[in-house]
Amino acid sequence: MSITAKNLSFQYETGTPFVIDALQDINFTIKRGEFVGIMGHTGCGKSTLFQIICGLINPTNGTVLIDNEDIFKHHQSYKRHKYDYDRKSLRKKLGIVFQYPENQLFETTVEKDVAYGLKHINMPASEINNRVQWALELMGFSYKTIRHISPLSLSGGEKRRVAIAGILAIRPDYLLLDEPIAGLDPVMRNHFMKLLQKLNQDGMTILMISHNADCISEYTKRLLILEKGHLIADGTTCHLFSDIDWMESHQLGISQSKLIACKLQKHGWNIPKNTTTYKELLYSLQTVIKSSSK
Amino acid sequence: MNTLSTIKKSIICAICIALCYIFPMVFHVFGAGAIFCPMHIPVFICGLICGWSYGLMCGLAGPAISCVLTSMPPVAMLPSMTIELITYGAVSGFLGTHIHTKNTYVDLYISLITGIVCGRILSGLAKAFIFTGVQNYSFAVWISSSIITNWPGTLIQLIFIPSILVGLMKAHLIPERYNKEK
Amino acid sequence: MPFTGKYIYGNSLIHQFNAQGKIIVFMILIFSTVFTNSFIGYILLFTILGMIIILSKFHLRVIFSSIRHIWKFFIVIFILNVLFFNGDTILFQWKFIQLTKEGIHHGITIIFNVFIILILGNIFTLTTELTEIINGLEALLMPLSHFKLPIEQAVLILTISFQFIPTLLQESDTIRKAQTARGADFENNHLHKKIMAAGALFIPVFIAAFKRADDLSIAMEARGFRDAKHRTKKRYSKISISEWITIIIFLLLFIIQIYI
Repeated sequence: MSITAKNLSFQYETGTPFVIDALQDINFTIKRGEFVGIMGHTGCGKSTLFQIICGLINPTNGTVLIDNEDIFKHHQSYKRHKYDYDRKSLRKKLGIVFQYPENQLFETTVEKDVAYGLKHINMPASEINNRVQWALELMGFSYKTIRHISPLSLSGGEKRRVAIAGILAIRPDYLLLDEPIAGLDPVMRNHFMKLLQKLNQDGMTILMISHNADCISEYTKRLLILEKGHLIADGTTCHLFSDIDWMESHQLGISQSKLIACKLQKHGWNIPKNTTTYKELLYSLQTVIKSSSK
Repeated sequence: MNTLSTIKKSIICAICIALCYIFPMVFHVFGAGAIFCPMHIPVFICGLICGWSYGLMCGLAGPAISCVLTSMPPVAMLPSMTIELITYGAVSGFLGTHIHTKNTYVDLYISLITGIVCGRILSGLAKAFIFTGVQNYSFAVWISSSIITNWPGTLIQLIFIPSILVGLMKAHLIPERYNKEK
Repeated sequence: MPFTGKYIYGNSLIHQFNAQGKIIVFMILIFSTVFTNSFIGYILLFTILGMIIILSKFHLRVIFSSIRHIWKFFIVIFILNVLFFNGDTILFQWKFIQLTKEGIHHGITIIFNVFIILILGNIFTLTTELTEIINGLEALLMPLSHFKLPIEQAVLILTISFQFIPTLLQESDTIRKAQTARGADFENNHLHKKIMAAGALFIPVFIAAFKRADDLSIAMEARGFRDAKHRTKKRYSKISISEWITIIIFLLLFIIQIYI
């Protein structure tokens, strides 16, 4: 039960003089139940990677295995767009939230829009209603008041929540999020991250692209770092964030808590080296203060 | 009803022209380019929102740009297609600004259907004229064929154009046609 | 990558020809193709076409690339013409279908015409930059603004629309992928399903595009843009004497073509 990328490569404009290598020889395995963050600069191939995992674009080389099934496997006799793998079951397993998901709303009411994905996986109507209600309430809406409103007349933040509800309603085994928190206010951001954490604890595997080092270090357990199409690091978030110099040399952000912990260490405070998250920092500060007051 | 500034109308027209080029490309990817007539939709939208002159501009420039950049439609089809789209934009735009029945959908459908019929008739005439010369007697055949062959496209236009416009009004991107009924 | 259309950089004579002049010359050539009826006329046209191809210094494959995809269209035009053209010398008849000598002749002529016009159009767009085409058109159409035609505004609209093409293209691609991931099936062979999927694409793309239009119009108004008439005028490059001579030669050719 896992997502595996095998020697994954992707080129734009193959066969022309303008070949761009978006991804080169990527290998990793993500087990069910993990919460993985992906960091990297703009244009390093993060979004391309997500689109390949979802089977939306075909890799130039290599393949992706989801639950040990090759999603790009096809008969020699078939040309493109004909796969052995049943794409419909892929849509059931994988949910992807694109950057600015609010752009994908189009139905006349919120209820219909959230149900759109469910209808396409042939779910009975009664079950659809339950799922829609569940997903909307999960995203902090009151189902009764919002269901008949047009999603287009909502505000930007509300639109995004409706769009994400539309993906969550499918209850995918694997949830891929591309910059879901960019442009959200801090309260909404924390609320949303807590929600993801809860879903993860309930068994959903989550992959999240983000530039926000704080959220990544607080919530994810494992971190993949991409640079110019190469996977340059794959390890536990705590471990990767502890090497500040390396992170800075690759111009990746460092979480505030980690920065504070380092500054304090330099000034001689007795703070453990692996302090990364806000809670850990708070805890170690408390112990330092307690011990010094004694 | 019309509170759009000239600048905004110009930009909306520009965007619709760009979409005239983009939609056929996007639809071509999954092999529905020809039957869906995706290029027609932005022209109607432009005409219905901005009025007949902008609709005409969009119908004139849309196919021309697409032809220059992608050779779709082929040059030989360009004149008849341009005539068709100009008629769409101008007729539906003119009726859109002049018909007021107090019901948004009725207004839109009247303008839309008249536009489609006029455009198809003229494009049929143009095709007959261009491909077979004046001496041919079968204008009626060409007109009816031009109305019938594109029926999936017509269906799409009738279903989606009003819903696109209502969607745009709901998103407050264009003014509502009538203020909320009491 | 900036959006350049089909333009490919080069420094041939055709590339360097002033865009206004080039538009005039190609228009003349297209009109003379349409009016040509004789065998000698076509020989003349093909010679000119060959000369232009050689002068443009492009590989033949590049020039014929656009033809390759639409050969089916040629066949359709040919068949339509052969079937619907009424001639006197009947070669073959079956029920209401009749093949006539004139019909076949007409069909071949039309195919030649379409072929020449396609190649001309292709060479024109390969050798002229998009901005140059717009500037050339503006310069040529400017005299029409005396008749109260809003040429400046039309040119402004065209320029803005070109700037929107790359962003909108990307945006509609993203929306297409997002809807596919939600289960919209664009590749389904059922027409009904295909139509429903189309809606999931049309509506969001329009909303996103109009949002951009809204932002841009606010930005332009905020910076004091009033209307196209009050813009500072651009100076157009003049058509040189040698270019005028070329235009006149082609005009003469056109007149000859009509009388042959």
